[in-house]
Amino acid sequence: MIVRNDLRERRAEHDWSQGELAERLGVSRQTINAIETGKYDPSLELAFRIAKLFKARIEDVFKP
Amino acid sequence: MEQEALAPASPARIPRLVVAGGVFMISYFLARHGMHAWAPVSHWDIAVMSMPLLVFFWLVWEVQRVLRHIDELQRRIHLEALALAFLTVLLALMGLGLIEETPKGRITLPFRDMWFALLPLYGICYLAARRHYR
Repeated sequence: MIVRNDLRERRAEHDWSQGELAERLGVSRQTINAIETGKYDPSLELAFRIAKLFKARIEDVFKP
Repeated sequence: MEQEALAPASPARIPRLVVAGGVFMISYFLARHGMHAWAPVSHWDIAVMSMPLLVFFWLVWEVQRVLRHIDELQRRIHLEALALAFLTVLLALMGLGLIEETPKGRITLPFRDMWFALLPLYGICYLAARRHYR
């Protein structure tokens, strides 16, 4: 199952670079890039952290 | 929980891993040297052979500590690299086994130095696994 996400758009809204977002989430910039390009689906824990950071529901950020 | 979740992916544990790896290598080569030096005294053999094993457990413990705190994508890449490396070694050993089955295929492998080939092999497998996520 392909999971899409709008992480790039949300990051752009906050004017954060991939590095800044990675630092806020405590992951590497490569992880953010891999999630944005759909090459990597984050763990449930990281997905919740991403949703929490953007004050959104997890199903709004990640869509099947 | 919150602080732990938001902690940056710190490489602070890497130096301890490097030290453990270095100590293991030193103990390994000391053991090899000891096996030559004390070979006639057979009851020392097991003691000398066990020396790097003890340090090895420390090294494994440090590797586990690093892997538990590493970035989750890095963990995935290492897992894929290990799978690739394991299958490559399996294939290589099966191939060598086939060669030994042939009438003139008797090969003498330098088992004491074969481990060294695994390090660059893992490096290659790591790079191959990482490429997918770039």
